[in-house]
Amino acid sequence: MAFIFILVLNFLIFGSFGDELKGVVVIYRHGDRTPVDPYPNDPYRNSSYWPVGFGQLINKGKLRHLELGRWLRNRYKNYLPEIYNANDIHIQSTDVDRTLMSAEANLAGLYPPMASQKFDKNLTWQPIPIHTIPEKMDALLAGKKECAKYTELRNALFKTPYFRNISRKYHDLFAYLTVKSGNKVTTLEKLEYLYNTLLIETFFNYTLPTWAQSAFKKMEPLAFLSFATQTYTPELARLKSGPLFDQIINYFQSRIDQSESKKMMVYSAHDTTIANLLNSMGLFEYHSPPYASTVIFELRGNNSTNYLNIFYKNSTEPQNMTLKTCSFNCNFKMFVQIMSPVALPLSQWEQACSNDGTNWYLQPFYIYIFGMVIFVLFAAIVLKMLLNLVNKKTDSSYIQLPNEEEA
Amino acid sequence: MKHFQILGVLLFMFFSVNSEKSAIKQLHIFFRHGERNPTHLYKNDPYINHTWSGGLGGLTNRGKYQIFYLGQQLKKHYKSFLPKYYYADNVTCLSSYSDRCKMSAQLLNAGLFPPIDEQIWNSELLWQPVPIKYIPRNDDNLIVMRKQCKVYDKAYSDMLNLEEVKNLTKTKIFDDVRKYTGEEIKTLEDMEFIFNTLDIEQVQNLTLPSWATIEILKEMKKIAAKNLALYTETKLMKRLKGGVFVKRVLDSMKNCINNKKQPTINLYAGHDVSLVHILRTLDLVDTIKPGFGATLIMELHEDSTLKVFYMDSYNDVMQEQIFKSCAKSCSINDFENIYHGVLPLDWEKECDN
Repeated sequence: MAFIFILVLNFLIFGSFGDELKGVVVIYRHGDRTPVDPYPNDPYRNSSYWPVGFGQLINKGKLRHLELGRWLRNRYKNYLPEIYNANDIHIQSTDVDRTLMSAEANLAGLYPPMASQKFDKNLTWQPIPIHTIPEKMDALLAGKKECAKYTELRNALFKTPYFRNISRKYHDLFAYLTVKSGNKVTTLEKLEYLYNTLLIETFFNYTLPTWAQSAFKKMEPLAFLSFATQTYTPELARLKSGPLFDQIINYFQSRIDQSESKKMMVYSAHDTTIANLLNSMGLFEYHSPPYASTVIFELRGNNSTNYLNIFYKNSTEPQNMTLKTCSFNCNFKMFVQIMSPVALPLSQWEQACSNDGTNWYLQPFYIYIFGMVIFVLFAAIVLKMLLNLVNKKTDSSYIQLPNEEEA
Repeated sequence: MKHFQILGVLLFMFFSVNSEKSAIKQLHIFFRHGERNPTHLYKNDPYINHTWSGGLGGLTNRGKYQIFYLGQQLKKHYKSFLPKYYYADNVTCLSSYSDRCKMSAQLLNAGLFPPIDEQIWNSELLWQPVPIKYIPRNDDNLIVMRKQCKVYDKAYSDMLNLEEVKNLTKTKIFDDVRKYTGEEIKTLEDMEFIFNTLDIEQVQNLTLPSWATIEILKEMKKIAAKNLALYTETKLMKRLKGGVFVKRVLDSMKNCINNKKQPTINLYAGHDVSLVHILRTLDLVDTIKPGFGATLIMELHEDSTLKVFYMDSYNDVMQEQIFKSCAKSCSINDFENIYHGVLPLDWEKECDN
């Protein structure tokens, strides 16, 4: 009886019989925060409306992450040792106060100190190092490092008929928001920022100005769409989320090869990180990823096959996520293949970001045209001087330049 | 141990009463991490198979407590200056890349900023998360002070090639320790590392081999301290090592005086060697081997004067440091004038990087 019970339990925990959990990657958004930057006409612009500084984590957010940490502890209680050991886990955060703090609060729930690790009898907390890279250097998680190619491609995206059409269709809304908010709301991203601020204000039970109340619902689908634009094409996804996917794949591969001791990789990041990850896998349903929303990758397998399960937890229970071209239990090799257009080693990112040979003015066609124009102008000047010499008397020394097409 | 703590508290209280004459405007606190495990063991180490809880180089439980305690003591000492509530905007905490420093940084904050009143977010846990920032080791010229600097590197290797410096390693103790440990021990730094390991083993109540007598350890400690001092042997070396930190503090204080928005509490979690760089750049010590939780405090006062205090370990007496040419109540301007020679203007350029 007990044996059957354990088997059933095993099934419930590990999904299928005999397959062990081999590796886990957890990526979450920070907890509840204050607005990053209220808009100029914001009635709640004054810092006195907010318990902490702008863009900072509030108590509710700390608690939310403590609870997520406890939830993770419970989910992985048979997998991840209760005693913190630096060899078991790697925690990386973007270099922003609220993500660093969220990671700490989360770890307070995941690793409350066991008796042997308590250093103060009154405190059920222990320090755990959180890794980070300054934002401007971080191409892995923050995605804030300058990438010329990405900027170029993204600008091009907004010039496609679909996005031009959106600008046209919602022109009045953008103009309205610009007038009312006092911010130049000219892009989807700027609309998304405004939407986030309004959303947070409703979370704080602040009454929105009437213009905002009526515009809020109209803004929503555009704000959601904005989340998808950072990784709208596979090429954008590759430059934005590629290094993270590459790291995730390498981590799982080294777990399969048994060359990696870390049982879990944790990344503390932003709504955009979550949206980008999901969208890069074709799993993003347009929405605004809520506080502490979490994407989980679990690698399971036996000696012969390994498969990946993907979950998205944006409320109490995680949802199973199934790639369009793979089953829920996605064979790991298959997953690697599916993600190959996106995954990009960090070491190659820099190169991929440079637009060598793709700068329009460096392309052979334009160099040719440029050369021709110079030649024609030069020829024209020489001709004019010659004509002046020959025909000094006539004032009408007007010469028609051949146009570019003819040249 | 307990007695020392009580003594520490008493001394803290004494100094708390004594040093609150003029109001503090801004604080910079640079501290060494707490007790750690050895980073490496030597060949003949009897504890080569010992289990080090927390891993090699890891912070021990006692080490965690030391820095938490240090934070609590600083909280008491600066009671009248510290704001009632912690705000991330008002505090910066920079750490070295190393885990033991990042953990120490969290611990100091845990002691310094326990949540109160409405900041208590979990009634069972009087702790709140505090962001700790750091930059990669090879980019860090502020805390670890390991970023490559060509001019410095040349100056350092030139100095190591001086006969008088070479002779420091041609002593009997080098032969002895080589023989006992089975290690090559070519440099003063090699000797420092062996000393660190022995010192830590002793702190952790592991009986040392009989050759490691009190006299030998004393001698080794001197060599270790000498090694730490050699990194800032010349004025140029000071300028390119500890000068970066001193410059940062000075700039921040000047901004603070000019009412530019500056964090009022600045915490830096680093290593013994970083502390020696700073202390020597300020000409405050000749040789020193800072203990766990050793702390250097630079206070900016409302009257635009600057005071420096040093504690040689987490529970040491906080001792005011007197600048050689700027005795009592040294103004920021005087300070800048005295030290302008060791303050880099453009570090990258001066390094010829």
